[in-house]
Amino acid sequence: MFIIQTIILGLCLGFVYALMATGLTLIFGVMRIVNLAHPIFILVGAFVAYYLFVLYGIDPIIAIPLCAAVTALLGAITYKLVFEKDAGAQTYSEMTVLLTFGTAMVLDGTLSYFFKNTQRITSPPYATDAIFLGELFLPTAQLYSGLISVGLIIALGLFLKFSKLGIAIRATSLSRVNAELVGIDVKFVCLFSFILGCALAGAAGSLVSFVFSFFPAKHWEWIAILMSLVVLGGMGSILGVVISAAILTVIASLVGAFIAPAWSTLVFFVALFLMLLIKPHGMFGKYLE
Amino acid sequence: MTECMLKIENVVAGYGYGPDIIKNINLELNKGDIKCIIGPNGAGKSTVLKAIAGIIKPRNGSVVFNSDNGEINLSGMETYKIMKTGLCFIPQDRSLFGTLTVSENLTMAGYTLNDKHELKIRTEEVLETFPRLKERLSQYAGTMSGGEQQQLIFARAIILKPRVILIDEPSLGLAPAIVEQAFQHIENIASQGVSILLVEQNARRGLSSSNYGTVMDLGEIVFEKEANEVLNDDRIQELYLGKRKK
Repeated sequence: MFIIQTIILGLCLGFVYALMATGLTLIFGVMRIVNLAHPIFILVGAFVAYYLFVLYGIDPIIAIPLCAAVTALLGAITYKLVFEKDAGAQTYSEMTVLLTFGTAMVLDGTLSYFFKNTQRITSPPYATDAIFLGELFLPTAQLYSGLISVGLIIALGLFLKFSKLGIAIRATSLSRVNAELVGIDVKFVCLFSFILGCALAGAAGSLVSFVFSFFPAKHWEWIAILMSLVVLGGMGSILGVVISAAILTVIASLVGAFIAPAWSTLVFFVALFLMLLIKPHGMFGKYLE
Repeated sequence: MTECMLKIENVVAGYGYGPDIIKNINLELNKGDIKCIIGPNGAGKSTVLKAIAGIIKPRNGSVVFNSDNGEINLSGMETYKIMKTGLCFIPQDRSLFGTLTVSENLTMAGYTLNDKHELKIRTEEVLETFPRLKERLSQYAGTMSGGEQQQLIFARAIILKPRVILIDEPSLGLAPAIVEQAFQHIENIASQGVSILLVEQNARRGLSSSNYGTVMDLGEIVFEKEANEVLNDDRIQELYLGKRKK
């Protein structure tokens, strides 16, 4: 029973991680931007959710669209200022590592200046509640955030699979030139994908705000885990990131439960290390030039 | 009187900050004509097509296209906008989206068409022309045979009913039987009044399907004649078609 409990909790957390990482992998897939600033967008979303709750009593789940809107706007501004100019350059991916690192530093500094390094957590009523199913004990915070993450990921998947713009996003991620040759406005698609990725970060931030305690420098911790999930899943693959997040978080939870919580983070990095040794393209990685 | 669909005047183009690859190219393409550009490697044949399609921006000169909405100068326009005017470019590497299905590839080919109903009708039309694709709609384009991919390429090209199609080396990397099919498609499309500008390494095959031949060397047009005259031209026979001087 204890094992099932751990697995369920791990899965819930895994889907939250998956949602946190989908934006990252989407942005990389379409634009080849290695967005080290992605977790700080999540953090911005979390701060928005926190203050909406503290100041106006708005439930973080209801605040998801607002958080997404704020990070989407921030993403649009960042993209226009920092990333658009050099898109299509040969060493774009390499450049973006530095650009996004700088962006993360700037936003980190700004957040630290205003909010100081105190731990915060949003505490809606369900944050400390739990559902009992027989002997199973399910904290509602994890349960809700996990379910909403799955819902959002499925919505994203359906959008990418069936809508015209979604197909155009996938086409652009396969080849910018060929996408342009069928009349796709590649610049717009890139801007849109970046905004979509940032909106997903904001939505994830809102959920994260009542699952984890957070502070401005927290994103450095997240980027390490998220990048390992993205690389494991195969850079650019959303399905890959969801599967790797689900599996690894469950393993990490089991390690945490049976060995010691301090060892659980190690799971992500050991997995990353092994994957890079065995299959550097990741589980569902496309061939990268 | 024949209608001029594409008129290229004094076009100069090159890559990045590099030297001019093509110099002062003048070319005209009439309605329903197939014009084949031949020439040795590095003559700038593909570059001419890329300059027309806006993949590289012409450094000088004009590319006037007789579109549905009158004459427009394509020079300096962005590629995706050029593709909305009724001009289509099939590049060397085939340009299919390999991990998108056939049906998604067709949807993307009709991307600029905003009328969903119209797109559906046209998709059905091209599927009638290429019935093999009908059976493969949900298959990934990259997993089809060379011949089927070829059909999808032409299906995609005609879905928007373009006035001009630019084709870069249709025979590249294909089995001889499929090359034959490709030229069959090209001739069929042209017979419906679409003008085609073709670059072909296999000069003999390219010219035998064309009305006109244009010979390029070192970034310039050497001369231009009717295709069968080019085929029989002594200089050409000697230089590109591999016939020895007697």
